[in-house]
Amino acid sequence: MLRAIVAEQMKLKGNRLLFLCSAIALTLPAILVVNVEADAIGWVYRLQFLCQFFLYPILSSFVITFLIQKEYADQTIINSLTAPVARMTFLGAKLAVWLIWYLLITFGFWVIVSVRITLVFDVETLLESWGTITAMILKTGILYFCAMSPIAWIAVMQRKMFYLSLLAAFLMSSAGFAGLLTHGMMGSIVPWFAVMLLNMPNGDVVASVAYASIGTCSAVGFGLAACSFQMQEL
Amino acid sequence: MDLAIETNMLSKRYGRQTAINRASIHVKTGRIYGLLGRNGAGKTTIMKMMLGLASPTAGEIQMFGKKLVGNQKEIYPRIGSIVEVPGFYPNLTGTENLKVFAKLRGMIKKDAVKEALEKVNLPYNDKKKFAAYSLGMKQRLGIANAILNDPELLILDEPTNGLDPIGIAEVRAYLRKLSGSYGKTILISSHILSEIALMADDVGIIHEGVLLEESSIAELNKRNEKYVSVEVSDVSLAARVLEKSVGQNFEVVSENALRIYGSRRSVSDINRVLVEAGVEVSELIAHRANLEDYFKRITGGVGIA
Repeated sequence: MLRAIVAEQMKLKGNRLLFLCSAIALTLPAILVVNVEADAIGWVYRLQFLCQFFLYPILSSFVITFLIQKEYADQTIINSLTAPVARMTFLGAKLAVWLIWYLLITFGFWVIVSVRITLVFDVETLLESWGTITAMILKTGILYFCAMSPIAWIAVMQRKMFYLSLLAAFLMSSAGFAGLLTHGMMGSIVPWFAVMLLNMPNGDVVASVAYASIGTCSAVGFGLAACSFQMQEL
Repeated sequence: MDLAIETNMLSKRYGRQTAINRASIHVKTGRIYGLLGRNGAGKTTIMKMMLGLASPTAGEIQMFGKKLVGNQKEIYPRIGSIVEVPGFYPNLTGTENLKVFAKLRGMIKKDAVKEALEKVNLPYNDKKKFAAYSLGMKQRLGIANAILNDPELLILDEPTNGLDPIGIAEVRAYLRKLSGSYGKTILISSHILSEIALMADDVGIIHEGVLLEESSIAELNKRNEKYVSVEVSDVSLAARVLEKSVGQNFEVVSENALRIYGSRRSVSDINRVLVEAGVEVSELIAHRANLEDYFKRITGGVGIA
């Protein structure tokens, strides 16, 4: 698996799409103007709203779609699998790169947010709210990654196509916003609603059901991707 | 002789369409086996099944004397392949591409990438991206990738596609050297008959998913040494006469022409039989058949290209 991940890293040399996605993901939270009337937590939440709840899921779908779709489009998947590389190793390496990208962007977002809190508020505010902010950002990043897992399955199934997984990502992140209109059990059952509600201050959500639905979504998404890829005729 | 590849009644169906119908292929160790067929005949599908890229609907594949199913981990590292077009990363150079696949393969020699590139006359560590390669260079890189791990068996799907005549001759000479000097087994597919005739030791002729014939090139040449073309006034009467005298070993090629294959009767004898039966013979010529004629005959009249 480690060899496959290193090979993935070698493939990404001079890759413009990944660079562009990363640049957008890190530039936007740095330049976005957010109302400073709110307290630090509220301020971070507003920044998260656009970046972590909407932009990052879509950008991350670009990343995983690109990682998988290019292999089909360039027909490099045949050379890779006949190298030979086990199909699960091949897919696992892609998912690992996707996760690493997501975590790095989340980390970058956390750094930018921390710096901006220092500038907009002060160092004391940052130190006071550091734990809460870190937990908020990390939780959102991880939960959204899990909730977006069906994108991996769609990317495998769509092969050379590109737009289907992007459309699905758009719908999933939009569904998160629709979740703001729901509450209680309804908001907890649908994983994309649940991610949003779990991160809302005082969100009306049944936490155990919400985590279970996100976990199930993740297992189903990655499971379907693995099964589909294992059985796929090339 | 040991078999490097053996398929037993291998079939592949896509829905109701049968792509491969009970093909039993026997590739002998150390020899070059040419899988010959028109585009869409099923050559690539067979190779994909051998390489685990597609699963057979029925039948069995054995490689190096072992069933493929359950032994993939042991078998596949002994194989190098090109399937369909050589797929590489367009943003990387040839050397970088081979390094990616070397990394995926794991245990290969330190200078394997350099050696493989040298063998196909491609530069090592050049700056040219794969996207800027000509079709011929792409094919060469595909071959370099296939030989990267010094495999015992090469499965090459139309590896000379896009190469110029000199390039084709070079690849042919190289593959012959691999087989002759290093004992490599090579399964090569092509729709170019002359290429297979010049390169292969054994040939399998596939048409519409059915393996029609499997034989050595030498045997085929021997079997198809001669045919007699006959132009007659009444082709149906001539066919009835020939059926009695030479059996089924003839074919009607046009409204007034027939071909008689492998007959032990002399040309004058055939002429006499036809004339005595009341058939007017306007032309009667003894020919040497070539592989293309043979291909046409066994595929029911369709040409190779």
